[in-house]
Order: sequence, then structure tokens, then C-alpha cells
Amino acid sequence: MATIQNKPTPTAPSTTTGGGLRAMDLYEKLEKVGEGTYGKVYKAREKATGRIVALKKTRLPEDDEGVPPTALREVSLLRMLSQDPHVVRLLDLKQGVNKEGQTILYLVFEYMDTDLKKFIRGYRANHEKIPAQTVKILMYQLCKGVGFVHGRGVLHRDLKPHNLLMDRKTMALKIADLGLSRAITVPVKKYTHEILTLWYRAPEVLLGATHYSTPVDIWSVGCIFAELVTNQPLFPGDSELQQLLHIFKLLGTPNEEMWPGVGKLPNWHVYPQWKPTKLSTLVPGLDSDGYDLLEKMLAYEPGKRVSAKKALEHPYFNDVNKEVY
Amino acid sequence: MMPVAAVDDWSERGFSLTCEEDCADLGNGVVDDDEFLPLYNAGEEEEEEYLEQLVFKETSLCSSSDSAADCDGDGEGDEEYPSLASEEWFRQARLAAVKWILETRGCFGFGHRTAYLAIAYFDSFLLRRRVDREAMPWAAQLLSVACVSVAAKMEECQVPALSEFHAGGYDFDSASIRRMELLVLSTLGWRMGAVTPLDFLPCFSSRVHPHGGAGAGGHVAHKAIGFIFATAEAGSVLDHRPSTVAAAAILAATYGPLLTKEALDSKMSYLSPSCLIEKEHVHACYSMMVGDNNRRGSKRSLPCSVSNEIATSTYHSVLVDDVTDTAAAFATAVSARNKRIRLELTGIS
Repeated sequence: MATIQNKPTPTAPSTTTGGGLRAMDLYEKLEKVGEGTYGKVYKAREKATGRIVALKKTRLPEDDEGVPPTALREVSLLRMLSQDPHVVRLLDLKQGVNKEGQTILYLVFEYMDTDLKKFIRGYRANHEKIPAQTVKILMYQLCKGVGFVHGRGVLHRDLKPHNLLMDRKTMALKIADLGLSRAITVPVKKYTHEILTLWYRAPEVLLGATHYSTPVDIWSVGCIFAELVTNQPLFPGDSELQQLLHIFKLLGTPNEEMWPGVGKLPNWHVYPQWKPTKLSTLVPGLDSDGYDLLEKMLAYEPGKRVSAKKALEHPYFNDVNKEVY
Repeated sequence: MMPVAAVDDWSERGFSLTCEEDCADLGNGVVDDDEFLPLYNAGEEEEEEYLEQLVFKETSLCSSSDSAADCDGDGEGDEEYPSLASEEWFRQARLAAVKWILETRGCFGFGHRTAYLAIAYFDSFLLRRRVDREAMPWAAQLLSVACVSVAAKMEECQVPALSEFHAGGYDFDSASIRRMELLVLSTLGWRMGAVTPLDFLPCFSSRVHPHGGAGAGGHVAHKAIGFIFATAEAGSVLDHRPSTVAAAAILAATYGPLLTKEALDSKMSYLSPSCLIEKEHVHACYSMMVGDNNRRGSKRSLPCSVSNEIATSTYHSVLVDDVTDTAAAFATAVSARNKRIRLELTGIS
């Protein structure tokens, strides 16, 4: 059922401590719309204003962990990032207690009616391709949002279609779910190894690097770019090893010449020596500028991968009306 | 589950301002050189951009406060309490808390940044909520545990369970620590991703030693870390901006106590060509760092007159819209089972 939406009015997030019932009294839950990294997500109406919002609910368990790191990082980083139009806006944070005495956190977000995963799946179900210009404006917004996030010193680390929210009418795209995000510091510090969703995981992470940085998000962006063009995931592996082999089969097995230092990564072994397939074969339907940009996003050597900021200047985006996005 | 390392006798290795040069390694013994070898070598242009981002971030966090004037040290915001930095009992409790944080960092193998963040949360919290003298010892300890736990969650790959933290002399249960964590988070507006002086060190040390390679820069950076934590022990980390502390520490570590004001100004133009950092503030911070090192046998704590000079805050967290009553908030943070602590709640206002 389609609901008429008011554009959410941005308000400064505030922290409200009160009963869980109070939070429930303020909002009418309309339907459950999904799960984030650590909690259920509901579409809801704010009773006072009629505004439609997304409520992300997390129950803080009575255990030895205390406040979960995923919730802590997401809120902290969103407090820093929410001013950008390409990051989902955190409107409020409600902290309360439910009937059982458990602490409940509600993150109140602006509502977006779909995500990129559903959007792509809709086209696939109809056996249609997403129009080239639509791919371009979605990719432009994605690069702009990632550029902003990286510019503020944050790695997302879980970029995938499901975490990219969309408004069907305006084709606005916003980055969401920062529960696995991480502030970047120089020097690059050790990070948890198994963290990114497999299909969008960068090869250096799959090979066990613990010192990685912004290029891991760019690899994910490249995978999403290819998926927008073909409606199919580019590297759909079902285990870490299979994910690596999938990449190597299609892009060629890396060597020291194209990726200096690859042989020293912890999970490096002798792999079958596949030759690369042309991107135009793997991802039919792009023009030459598009292939050039995609190739730069999927460069094996992290230091040679294009940055989000540089991607925005690429000729592929020359005909995007940059004042609109 | 992370194994707990054996605890050394930290009281003999406290990071006081009188420490000698070899104290700068913070008792780790092994220098973690890996920490100072960036995986991706940034060019000069990118490095300057990175510095600008850091200074912007520390400035924007400062200006996001409702009392923007405080960022210039002109006065206190209306919700701040009179500074307690000059009270001896406050400084002693704070010093004990900072020492516990550093000791805990060593036990769990946390990064330096985690320890610094925990101290920053501690100072920011007490800028917002007043604790009376009688309650301070146990409240400071519970606050320290919560601050270390939150900092570890922001920074570390592996985070200890709450029950693994051993607060010296107190036995806080996990539920109490969790409630304290929530109190810290709401008091600081859930803005936990602060800029620290450590974030500036790699750029600054590479500028002081442009041709020295990783070895020279790493050595200076480690001495600088010693100065940074010695300063954190001496007074609130909010007294100076992180960029100021980092610049002063690098200069103290590189040139020792002998820089004149003119020489420091000249060195600053290498560190910060864009003039993002105030030279006067760096000089004040530098003087504090090297001054007490020259005075053998001086007291651990700063003399009162010096404390007064640096007590004005130039950096603090955003105000929270609806700060709840502090006594009630602390009451919910502490287990009802702990009767003795409950009796002391009247000390918090």
C-alpha cells in the first residue's frame, strides 16, 4: 500500500531518556521492514507530526558485553556524518526500558521506501536492464556519499545493495547501516579480518590483510557498479576460498608484478593461474568511460584503486547534472 | 575471550611529569613499530589534506557545543560547574583514575589511542556532571571502567567482557558498569569518535624527520607519546586542542627543553604550513611539557598557579538536551545490592 510521505524535516538529534512506553506512545509502528546489523527496523508514523520514519530497535541484553560495539559505532559515526545528503539521517535517539526492565534503544531515521537490492531485483524479475542514465546517477550519488564518508575519516566496510537506501520517486540514494563502520586513523591500524559481506569483499581482506583502508570500500563500490549494469552480482562466492577463486577466475590470478606484496599476505597460496577476462565480456552494457572507471575500482593493488573523490571527476560522470545530486 | 596479562607493579612506573627519557615507552618494553608504518604512503598533498580534515573535525566538534565561546577559552558555559581542577582531592582522584586507565591498557594490550580516548571521555563527563568530594573515589573508578570499556568498543578488534575489568578496590557488577556506560554515552551525546593528539603524530614526525625513515620518526613519536600521556596525567585533556598537544609533544621529543619562543615559531612553520594551529598555544603547552622535566624533585602534580592557567577548557562535548538528575542517574548506574555505595549517593549533585 502506498503511503503519502512528507519530506522529513531535518532536526538535530537529541538523546531522550524515558520509558519504553513513552517511545511507543510517540510512534505508531506500521510494519516491520527489515533487519540491520544488530536490530529490527520498522516503518512508523510520528504521532505528533504525522511524519513517516524508520525505527531501528535494539534491545541491550543483560549480559557481560554492555552496550554493543555495533550500536555504539553506528550512533557515534552517524552523529558525525548525518549532515551529508547521501548518508541516511539520524533524527533522534530514544533510550528507554521495556516492560521486562530491559534497556531499549530506538534509532529514529528518515524513511526511505526501498533499497538498492530490492530495486535491482525488481528489474531482474521483469527481465529488464536498468537504464544507463539511471545507473549513472545512482553511481554518482554513491561515489559522492562514499567520498564524504571517507573524507570524514570513516570506513563503511559493509557497502552492499541492501545498505544503500533509495527513494523511488527522486532516485535519491543514501548510505546506511554503519554498524560495522570504523574511524580511519593514520597509521592504518589492525582491523578485524572477517567483517565484510562476502560478495563485496576486497581481495586484500580475503587474503587476510589486517591493515586495510578506504580502498576496501571502493572495491565494494565497483562490485555494486557491475551489478547495476547486469542485474547480477559480479562475484557471488559462498565461502572465502570460493570468493577468492571467483575473483581470480574472472579478473586473472594476481602476481607480484601487478600487485607487489601480494605473495606476503597471510592467506596467499599457490592458486591456479587464470588469465583475465575482458570487463566488456563480464559486464556487457557499459560505454568505454564506464569500463575505464570500473577497471580503476577493481584494481587489485589497493593503492592503485581510484578514490571516491577522484571517481567523481571521471569522464563517465561528465553528463551528470552535478548540481542536482 | 582475551587472556589477561600479568600485572606489573605500576606504582613504581607511574607516568609523572618528572619521568626520565626512558619512561617515554610507557612501560611496554617492546616498541610497536608496526603502528607507525602506514600501509599506503600518502603524498604531501594528501597529507596536508588529512591534517586539515583532522583540525576541521576537532574544531567542528568544539563548535558544535552550545557554548561556542568556550572554544576560545573566554569563559565557561552556563551549564558547566566551576572548575574543580584546582582542588587537590579532585586531582588526586583523577590521577588515580588516569593511572588505572593506563594500567588497564597495558593489561589488555589496547592501543594508545584507546587509553587516550578513555581519559578524554572521563574529563568530558566530569565537565558536565559534578561529583562531590565524598563520592569521588568510587564514582571516579566506576566512571573509569565505563570509559575504558566504551573506548575499547570504539577502537579495538577484541573487546573484553565487563566482568574482566578489575577496578582496584571495588567490585562493580556488569549491570552497574553497563548502566554507567549508558550514562557516559547519553552525557556525551553519543559523540564518541573524538580526535586525539595521537592522530597527528605520524604526519608531524615525518615532517620533523623527512629523510630519517621510519626508524627515526618512530623513535620520536614514541617519546612524544610519553609527553602526551604525562600531560594527560597532569590535567584535563580538554585544556588544549589535540593538534596543539601533538605539535608541542613532537617538538619536545625532537628538540628537548631548549627551544626559545622564536625557534618554536620557526619549527611550527614546518609542522603546519597552513597555519592551522595556534603557535601561542603550542608554546604554552610545550613549556608545560618540558618545564617540569627540568625541575628535579618537583611535585608530581602541577603547582596550583600553573593549574589555574590551564584550567580553562577549550574543547568539550556537545550539551545534552535533557540531562537527567545526576543523583538519580548515578543511582540507576549502581547496583541496589551495594548498600555502602547507595549511602554515599548524597555526595553527588
